Amino acid sequence: MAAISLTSPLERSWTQLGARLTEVGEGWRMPASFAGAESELRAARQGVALGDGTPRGRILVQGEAAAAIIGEAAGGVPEKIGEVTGTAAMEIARLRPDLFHVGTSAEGRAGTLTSLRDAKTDALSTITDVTHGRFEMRLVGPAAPVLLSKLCGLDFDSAAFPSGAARQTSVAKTRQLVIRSDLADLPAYRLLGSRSLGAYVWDTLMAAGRDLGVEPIGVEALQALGERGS
Amino acid sequence: MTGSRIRADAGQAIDRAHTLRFRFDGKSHEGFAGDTIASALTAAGVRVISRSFKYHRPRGLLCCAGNCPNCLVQIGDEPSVRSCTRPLEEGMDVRPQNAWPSLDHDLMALTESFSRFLPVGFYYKTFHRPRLLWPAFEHVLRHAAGLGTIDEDTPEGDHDKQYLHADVVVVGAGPAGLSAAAAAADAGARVLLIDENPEAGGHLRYHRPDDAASRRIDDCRGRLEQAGGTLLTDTAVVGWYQDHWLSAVRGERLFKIRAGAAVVASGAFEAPAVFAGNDRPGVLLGTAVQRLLHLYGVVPGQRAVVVTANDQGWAVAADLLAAGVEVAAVTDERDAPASNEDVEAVRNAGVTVLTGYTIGAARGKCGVDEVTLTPISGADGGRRIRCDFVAVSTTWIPSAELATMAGAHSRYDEALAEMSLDGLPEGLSLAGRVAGPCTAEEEWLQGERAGAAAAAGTSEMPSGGSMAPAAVRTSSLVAAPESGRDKRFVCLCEDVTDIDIETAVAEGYDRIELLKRYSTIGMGPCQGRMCGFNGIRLCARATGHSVQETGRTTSRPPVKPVSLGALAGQKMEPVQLSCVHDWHVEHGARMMVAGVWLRPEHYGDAAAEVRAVREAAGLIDVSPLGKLKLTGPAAAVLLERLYVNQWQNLRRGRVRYGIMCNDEGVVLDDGVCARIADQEWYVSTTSSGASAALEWMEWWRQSGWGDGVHITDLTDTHAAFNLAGPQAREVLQPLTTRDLSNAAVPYMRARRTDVAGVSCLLLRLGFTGELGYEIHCPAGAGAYLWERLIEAGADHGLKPFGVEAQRILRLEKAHFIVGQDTDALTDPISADAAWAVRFDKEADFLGRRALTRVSEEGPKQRLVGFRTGRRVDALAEGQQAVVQDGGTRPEIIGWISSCRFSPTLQETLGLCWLPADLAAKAEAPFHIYAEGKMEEARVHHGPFYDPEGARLRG
Repeated sequence: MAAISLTSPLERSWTQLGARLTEVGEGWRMPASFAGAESELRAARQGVALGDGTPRGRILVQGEAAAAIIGEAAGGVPEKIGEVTGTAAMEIARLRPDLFHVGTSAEGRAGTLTSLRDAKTDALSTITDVTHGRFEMRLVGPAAPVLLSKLCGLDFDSAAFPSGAARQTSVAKTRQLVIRSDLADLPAYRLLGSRSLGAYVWDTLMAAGRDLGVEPIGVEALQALGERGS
Repeated sequence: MTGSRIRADAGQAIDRAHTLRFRFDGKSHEGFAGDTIASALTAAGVRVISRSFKYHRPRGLLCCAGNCPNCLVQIGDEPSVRSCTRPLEEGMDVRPQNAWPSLDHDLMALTESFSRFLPVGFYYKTFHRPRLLWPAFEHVLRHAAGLGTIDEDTPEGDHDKQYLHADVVVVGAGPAGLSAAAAAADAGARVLLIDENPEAGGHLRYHRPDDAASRRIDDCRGRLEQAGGTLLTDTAVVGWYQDHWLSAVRGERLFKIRAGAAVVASGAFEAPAVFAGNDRPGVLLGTAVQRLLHLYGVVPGQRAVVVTANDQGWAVAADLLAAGVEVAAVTDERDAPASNEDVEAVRNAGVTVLTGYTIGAARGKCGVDEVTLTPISGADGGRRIRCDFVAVSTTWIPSAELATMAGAHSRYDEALAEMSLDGLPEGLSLAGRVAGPCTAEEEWLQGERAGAAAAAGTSEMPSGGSMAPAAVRTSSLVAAPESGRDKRFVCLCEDVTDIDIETAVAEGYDRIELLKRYSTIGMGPCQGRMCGFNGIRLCARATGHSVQETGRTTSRPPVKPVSLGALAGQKMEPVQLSCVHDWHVEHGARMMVAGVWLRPEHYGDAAAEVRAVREAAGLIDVSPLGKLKLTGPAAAVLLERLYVNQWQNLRRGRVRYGIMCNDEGVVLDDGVCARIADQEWYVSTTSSGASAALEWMEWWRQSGWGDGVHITDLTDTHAAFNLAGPQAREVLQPLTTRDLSNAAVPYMRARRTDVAGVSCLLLRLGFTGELGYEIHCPAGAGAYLWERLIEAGADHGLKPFGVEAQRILRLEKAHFIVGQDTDALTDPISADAAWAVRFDKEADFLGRRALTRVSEEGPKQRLVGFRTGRRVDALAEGQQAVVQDGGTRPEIIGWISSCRFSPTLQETLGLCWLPADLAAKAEAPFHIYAEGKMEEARVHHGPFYDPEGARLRG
């Protein structure tokens, strides 16, 4: 039997853009590069680039004991709603007093899940791996806030939405979690939404960013910018 | 009027080294880069640019500021383009609109000959009778109405929108706006400065070049830029909503702007005077003449008459003289205008000056050849003067629409004869001419104060300028004294005259809002900018009220015309795709819209897919099913309350079908619930109702029933495939190490297992009526697993099947579909699912009281099966069930909710709603009214296919 291959909901979109493929994490097919890392890095540094980060792990921790679980597993808890702490390997966003979103590298998903479950207390809590239920896109570049402002009513100015902040909002008429996590001093956002809407959101972002010169960016260029685990 | 270019150094907006060629009305012309279409046409000597809406009178450039309707043209498939603000482009093909067969010889101009039969409001009074002629009237009216043309085959253009945020928004980048923006930026505010013109500077752009003013403009722009502020030019703010939420448009982009505070520095604009022939090409506003001179180096004619009531007209006359244009006369309504630099220049040039005079009429064939200047007293003494254009500077209107939308109050200022503003809402400041006349220096200072106030979140209202009212006031004349027989237009958009206004008032439309709606004054492209104030004054005169008593019409968005494309923005229609979508498409599936999902309807032959499921195996992608995880000690209790079924007694690893009702006992959703662990449940909902079911459950969970329960939406996390058919076990068994025998995995059981190496949840179900497994797996592995299942089924006759086959299969089993066979009044007892309602369970549940009543009284209508015993292609869902009793008139007794030809049973069958007494009788005959014929059917109880359920349990 063939090895299990995992597919991103954006696969058709980036395949049409001529992606060269690679494998990430537990068997995810991903775009290594489109027009070449150099060209993609230029787009990210001068305009805006859109990449696929779907292989990253995504875990929801909810319940009265959620903060305690996160605290024990990660050594710290974001205090405020909308605050993000941790690292790219384990990025914790507080969405409600009793709800956290934990992002992990593709390779670190299983380990993080285990450590969270090990930290579970007797109080009611639910830990759910929703990796497969969400798409994750990476929007990088100085024009990224402008592109997002065409599809979302939030204020993307750095003072209002700094790196290390998360917002649950509507982007292109779909419910999404937006996390700002800058890369190499460039504004960079993670967009997380329902997997089944991934292709629509990708195509909508590419269309909205046409006048900004949006380019797709592959895993290699993202890693060159410092992205880990996608 | 013969327009031309003046000296080479005039025209700061144009680049004379860069010539552009274009066509207008089929003729070739040239202009310069930086020209607008209208400035180039005027320089080329073109007088007539458009035809008026109703009478098709020739119209030429009037305002040169994008306010009036006189220069509307068609460019390609874009109608009603304002040629006075649209930049000229190389190769443009500009066409006139609303003229037939040509602009110069428009036969529709004959309409004016019948104008006495087309009075104000004629469309409410005529063309009603005789009714038989209405189609003919309609044909003619549709041809005559409207302005440009729209090509329905035009591809959708690029439209989008953008959200902007600022601490302070400043509207208008004239001196006041620029200084306000700079001051607010200096105070640390994030500033957005917006102006509808291509450059900042406001009126300074089209006044005599002034180096000092230019330096101040540059200084303010520099301060704004240094502080990170934004200047948006070519952008019109068109609406103002609560809490400083603004809409603005630039080209085809709509901006939605949220501001902490705002400064309105929108200035003022000129409006026409009312006199005979005031619409003729060659009658221009004074500021239009200045724009032509200073921006584009164009003079609109060779011999001018200037008409004014304040100092502005003298400045226009002085500018014309400086440009070498002969000024035949200057009239001023004032008896003794105060001396100033412009007045002296005009007098010294020997120009005929008539004080206490105004213009009575303009005459000419397709332009102005002559004017009559008449004493404002109406006394004799009118003078005829030959000229080829008229500059009119009599009426100033503050651009107050946005401020009043924001909540400012307006009142009539008798001294200035204009509407002024007061009563500013919180966070709104005014600066510059919009707040009243002031000198240029005062505009800069007012802006500084307003900007500082806005940055501090307060309001600032200027205390008033130092200019004498007489120097700046609007004409005291409502309309010029009678002089000539030509029409005196108030509304140029709709061809409404002063007589029309008086007639409408006489007919009883004597309130300004009523008058507007009846006469359509202010409802055209100018949105009242050119006619609103004159309309109010004419209404006041006709009713005998003061202008203050008459009031003004309400300003509403959009202030300026906006294309529907800009309002619509980028096309965004979310669509949900399964993880196997690409496979479906590649294998010939015909996709259908199901809610927000795209699903395979069939792969070419739905009947063959049904046969495959009945005889071998079929595989359907049911990923859109709602999938919820409920965890916690109280999960079972919550389910007991939300579903009519009993749950607490369901053992671990078992699955039960459930119906969810609201408190009125109406069916909301259905699906299966599997108990995965003591405190963990896996709940599936209908595909189209997934979001609503989740919201419903969350609402009750958060309303006090949810202590000890968590709900997690896994709809997108898991893909789901239903493998069904007598060969299903043989297809699946080689892919898993789990024993799938009937003893190990019986009907209605849930098991975790690996399938093709993928961790799955297996639900043994039977929606199709066959042995079936619903396989839930991580969505990322969905495409992989689907392909493995297809491969494994190849030797067993497995076919993929779509929604259509699924509908037939379930109908053969007489299963209802929520939303298809039920509606907003359907209860489970009437829907033949009384067996699911457990009145005997301990927990109270939603709908218990209503369902108890239905159970006691018995339903009036029931959902029941019917069969025809033959193929009847005419039958369709939604048709009526009727009874015919001995030749009497047929009586409608019910309707068909589901109907298909069954490939398995070779007859047409379905589900229908019938009266309970008829539905209770198996084999009872009734008729279905189908395509004009009565088709006989008989009531059927229970499943049509495998009524014992042996196959699905096998």
